[in-house]
Amino acid sequence: MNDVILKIRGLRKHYKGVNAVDGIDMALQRGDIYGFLGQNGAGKTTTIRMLMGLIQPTTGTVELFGEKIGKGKNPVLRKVGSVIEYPGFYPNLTAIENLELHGKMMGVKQSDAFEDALQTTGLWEARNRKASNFSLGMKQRLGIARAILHNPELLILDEPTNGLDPMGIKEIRHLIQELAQKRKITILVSSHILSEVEQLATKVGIIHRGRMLEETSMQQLKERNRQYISLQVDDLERSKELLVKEMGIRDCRVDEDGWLRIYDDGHVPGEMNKLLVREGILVNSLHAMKDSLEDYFVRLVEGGAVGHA
Amino acid sequence: MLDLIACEWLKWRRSRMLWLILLGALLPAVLNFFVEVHNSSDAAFQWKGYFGDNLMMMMMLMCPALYALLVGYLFAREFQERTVNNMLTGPYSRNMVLAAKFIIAIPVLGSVLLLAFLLTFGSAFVFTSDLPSASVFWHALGKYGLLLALEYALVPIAAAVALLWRSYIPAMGLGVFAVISELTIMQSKYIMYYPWSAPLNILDTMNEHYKSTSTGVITMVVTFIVPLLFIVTYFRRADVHSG
Repeated sequence: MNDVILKIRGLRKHYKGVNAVDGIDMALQRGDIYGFLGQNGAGKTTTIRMLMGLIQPTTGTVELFGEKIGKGKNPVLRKVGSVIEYPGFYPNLTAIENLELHGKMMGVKQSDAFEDALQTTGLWEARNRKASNFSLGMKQRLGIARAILHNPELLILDEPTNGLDPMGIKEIRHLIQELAQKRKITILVSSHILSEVEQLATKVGIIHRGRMLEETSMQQLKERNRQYISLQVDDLERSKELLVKEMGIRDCRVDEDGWLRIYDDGHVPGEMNKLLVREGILVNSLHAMKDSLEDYFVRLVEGGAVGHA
Repeated sequence: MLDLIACEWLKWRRSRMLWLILLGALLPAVLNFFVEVHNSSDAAFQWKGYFGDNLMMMMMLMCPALYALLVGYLFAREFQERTVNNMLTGPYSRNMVLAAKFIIAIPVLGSVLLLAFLLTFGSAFVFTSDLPSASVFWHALGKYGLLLALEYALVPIAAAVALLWRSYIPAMGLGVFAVISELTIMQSKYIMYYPWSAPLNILDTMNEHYKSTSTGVITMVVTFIVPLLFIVTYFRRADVHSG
């Protein structure tokens, strides 16, 4: 079940002297919940629009289920459901009529598909209300109902929690997890909210200024944000020298606040303290710490340690 | 393709634009009715004249403006209602989406003229109890049909304006401009070269001196084809950034 269903190679979009997306590579395997993480304006939506055929790439290719996405007819899009940016609906039609319209377009024949999609998203009771009367949270859920109506293998959600209150965010997150688990849908979800991606994704792609800085599994990312020992001492250079020479420490850095960080595993903090004190160095503070994804993201975006294992 | 046409049809359900279709047919019919009330004391009722007057109002005033608005709405509503993403991420090519819209424009625009014809036909019985002769009836119906065909040739221009600006407001502006300009140009020697005045002289004789049906037909064919080619090329390549 490890087949690649979305493959992007060298995708670039050039606008008026600027590369909105600058040579992105990306791969989604069946079963992934791919968190496409980046600040506002990083190029997430442009990338998603290119992979859905809404924007023509300047260069590069998009392959969905082994078929290239081009300017003409793309029958493979029948296997994809999407909510891109704001979920728009025909205001004169009810929720179920909006789904019927989409169902016709996507060739949905099963009559129970409409009820199924609306039940899954908790909108069955509101099916006869006009979509224009829905709240933003309901519209997001209706957008997801529309996107899963034709039973897609890949679901693309662009900032699905934008503008929602905390309860709404929780509901959408729960819904996405449920879709991945129960319906076995592969999901690509873009967001600028780290915690959201951290809670949802099994794989992460970090985009910044149109470039993919890193693409890795959430497991690897969590491992990478490993524990470290943080020391505040009166003589940084000598401390560093002693720790490297006497304890064989290899990954030792000074952070922007003047703290010494030891990333090597298997060293007891007390031993370090003992060594430094013995050598006449004043140890003001010593903590066992762990990098958060946020720390890592900030370092990555600011051009810090990328991909250190 | 049939599914796409069905989708386009479904989109009109409970649309406010349906009121405009009714209004577009009703207003000229009511105006025609009161003109006839005013004239009824002077002359006997003529079916041909009654249909002709309604046709003239539709042709000169209502159709150019209303059709530009309806076509603009048909082609640009997805941009304004932000449903364009959904419309263009289906398994169909953009040209098929366009084709469905061009097909559905026929019953939408046709319904205005059909309603106008029926209202005129029905309201005439206030003035006469006689049915029109078969030749008058079919001749009038044929003229309404011809008007629909000539006005349909203007659909790509309004569609192009709506798609370029991604709004039906400029198309509405085009309609108003069309009415004003046609009334000016119909009095000049360019009547058969101007797409909004040529139908007037093809369908009726507005300017006998410059009446050349073949020139008018060429004008309308060019008017249909050139913007159509533009739309097909433009829409196929246009990036969709919002919606």
